[in-house]
This record gives sequence, C-alpha cells and structure tokens, in this order.
Amino acid sequence: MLENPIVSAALICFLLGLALAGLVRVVPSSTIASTPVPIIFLASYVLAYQQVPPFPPVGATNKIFYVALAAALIGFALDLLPQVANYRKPLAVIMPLFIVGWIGLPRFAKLDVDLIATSLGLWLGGIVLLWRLDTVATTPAERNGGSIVGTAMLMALLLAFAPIALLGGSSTSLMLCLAAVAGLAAVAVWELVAPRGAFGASAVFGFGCGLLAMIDTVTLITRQVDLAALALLLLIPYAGEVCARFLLPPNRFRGRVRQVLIGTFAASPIVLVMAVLLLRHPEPLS
Amino acid sequence: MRRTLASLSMIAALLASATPGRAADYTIDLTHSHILFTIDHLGFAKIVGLFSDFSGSISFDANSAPSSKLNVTIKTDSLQTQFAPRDKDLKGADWFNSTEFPEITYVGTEFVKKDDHTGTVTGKLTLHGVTKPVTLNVVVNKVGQNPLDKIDSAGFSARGTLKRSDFGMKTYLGAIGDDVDLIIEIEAKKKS
Repeated sequence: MLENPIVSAALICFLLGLALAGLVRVVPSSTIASTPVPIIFLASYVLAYQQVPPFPPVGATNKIFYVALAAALIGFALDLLPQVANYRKPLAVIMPLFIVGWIGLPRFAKLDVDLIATSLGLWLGGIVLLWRLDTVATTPAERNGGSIVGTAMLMALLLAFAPIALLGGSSTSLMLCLAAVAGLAAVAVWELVAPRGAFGASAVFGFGCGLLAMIDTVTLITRQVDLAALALLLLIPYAGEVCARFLLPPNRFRGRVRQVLIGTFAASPIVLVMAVLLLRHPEPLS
Repeated sequence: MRRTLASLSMIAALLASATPGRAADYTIDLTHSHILFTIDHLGFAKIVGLFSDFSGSISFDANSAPSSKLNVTIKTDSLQTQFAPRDKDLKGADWFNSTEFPEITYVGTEFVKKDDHTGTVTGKLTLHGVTKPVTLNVVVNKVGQNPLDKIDSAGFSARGTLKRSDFGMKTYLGAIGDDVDLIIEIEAKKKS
C-alpha cells in the first residue's frame, strides 16, 4: 500500500502534522502555534511535485509554492504584529487578485469573454474563501468559529477540489489535496486532544492562498476544470455556519462537540460536488 | 584542343572533390515522420506517447556532417497516448503545460559522423521552459530521389534518452519513470 505515491505522501504529511502540532504545544507563542497549517501545505506541494521549485518559478505549478510561501510569511507578520491586524480583510481582497493575475498572466495576452469571466469568478471566489476563512479564524469557538472549524473547512475544500482536479487534468493536485488533508487531520487530532485554539493569519493566508493558486492553475492553465463543480466550493465556507444555526441550538451542543459537528457540516457540499461530477463526467478514469 | 579540354575537366573534377560538398536544405515531411517517446509505468510497461504536429528544417551534407543544421518545433498540444484522460493530464500544468509552453524545440549544435550511415547529433532541447543538451544517435537511412514524387528526399532514424527531471517534470517520480526514450523517424523533402 505504501508503494502508492498518494498513500505514502498522505502518511508522511499525517506524521509531519502530528510532529509539528505536537512541537508547537511546547512553545508558548500563539504566532508559532499557527505555523503547522501552512507548513503542511508546502510539504504537500513538495511531496506531490517532488521538488522545491526553482526561483524565479518556471510555469504556474512552480508559482503555487511561492504564492503559499509568501502568503504564509505575510500571515506570520500579521500574527506577530497585532497593530497591523486591520490589514487582514484588505489582504483577503487583494491577494486573490494578485494570484489570478500572476497565475493567469500567460493567457492575458489574448483576452476573451470566457477568460475575463473565469478570472473575475476566481477572484471573487477567492475573496469569499479568504474572507470567510479569516472570519472563522477570528471568531470564538462558542460563536461557531475557531481552529477546529477553520481546519475542517480547509479539509472540506481540499476533499471537494480533489476530484475536480482529477477530472480537470491534474492528478498531481489530487495528490497534493489528499496529502494536505492527512496533514490537517493530524493537526485537528491534536486540537481535539489538547486544544490550543491557534488558527492565525499564517494559517488563513498561507494555506488559503496556496489553495487558491492551485485552483487557479488547474482552471486557467490546464483549462479542463468543471466550472459548475468548482463554483460549488463556495458553499463550503458557509455550510457549517448555516447548518449550525438550524440544527444545533446553542443550549444543546457546546464546546468541542459543537465544533466537530460544524466542521462536519462544512463538508456536506462535497456530496453535491461529487454528484455534479458523476452526472457531468460519466467517462471512466482508470 | 582535346588534350586541353580533358585537362580542364580533370581539374574541375579535382576541385569539386577537394571543396566541401554543399549542404542541401530539407523540410520535414509530416506525413512520413513520427516523434514518439516511451516511459516506464510502475515497472510493468512502457507507455507510448506521440506528437502529431511538428515541423522542422534540416540542412544536410553527407560528406560534411559538421556543417549540418537541424531545427525542430513540436506542438505540445498534439500529444497523444491513446487514453484521453491521461492526455488531458499530460497536456496540463503539471506535465507539458501546453498553455504556457506550447512548443518544444530542438536545435542541433554538433553533428558527428561515425561512418557512412551513422552519427550523433547533440542539440539544445527546450522543454517545459528549460533548455538542456540532448544527444541523439542518428542513422541516415537513405538519401536520394523519392520514386513516387521525384523529389530528392532524405530519411533518418534517431534514438535518444532524456531525464524528465532535468526539465523540471518530477511529478510521480518513482511510479512513473524518469528516463524518457525518444524514437524519431524523419523523412524530409529537399527544398526546391
């Protein structure tokens, strides 16, 4: 089973997640406590693409790594300097635009309506994703936010995007997604066993921007992605909150049980994504 | 007079043999040319891929190999492996990235003749945005007039190996081989 590159990458990421999330628990700094999340994205990238890409990057897949790295460093600086915390929301608007612009740059020489619409959609979708992720990260657990919900939201986004990527001509993105899910699962396990409550800007922007760069690459460069299925990803950031409001009265479910349930609800749109993909892509893959 | 003419023709013949032959220019005949590659899949089999759209020019002189020239351009979007989902993946950003790198180019830089029919060509291969030298073993199959269209033609077979990791294509290394074997069959028509 370990001969399967996807399984071995997922196992390595899970062990890395366990180790990093364990290590940060002996460090009192909450800034450091958020760093396992973006590191897991970068490690998943290196395992999937089997390299730290050259700099300057050659091609869109190389750019994914540097987008995630730069965004993680910016996020780390935001965590370190509370006086610049007000920049989080503007960054949630600007960074998706920068990512679409940089990844899609080779195509912008020949603009057409489809490209403009797709790029605009990716930018707006990126804003929704980062904005909501940041809101969840800065909202207390008792108000349906917190680290477990944020981590679960990222895992749900990865699990939903993995089959979209596979059908969209990027089996490597599938591998990256599944490896990253395994790493985040380890972080979530630690958070359940020994809560630290850290899901800072480095996690939001480092992982979120890396994810956006991967989505933009498959959409704008490989150009085979199912846009209808991709649009359904936008349900994930809200599914947990909406389900919690209707299904989880505050007086009945509290604490970690509530967070786990909200995180599970966040994954509910995956079923919808799978149904859309199966209906629209009946051709075999193996 | 006869003696003078005979002497002149002898001198002309000697001069012709002494000066290097003039290279003839050819263009690749796509209908009778093929560029294929094979790559290991999990140790079980070699997957075969081919490019159906490419073009190029050859300047070839059988008597003076070093003066030869070679330029080939391959359209990455023309890749085929007999399985559409795999083709989609291979043309995508993770592999050949046909959106950002629509062409593979090979420019011959060094031509070495081994014997009358074999030699090597070393050239600069630009693939996936990376340029590296690649050497091909070449067999000159035939140079002469094509009996069907009466056009002077030349036919070559070339073989070589490259490492895809040298060109930044490292995804699924281990499961998918690093060595890519090249199989090139070229028929070229002399430019009129």
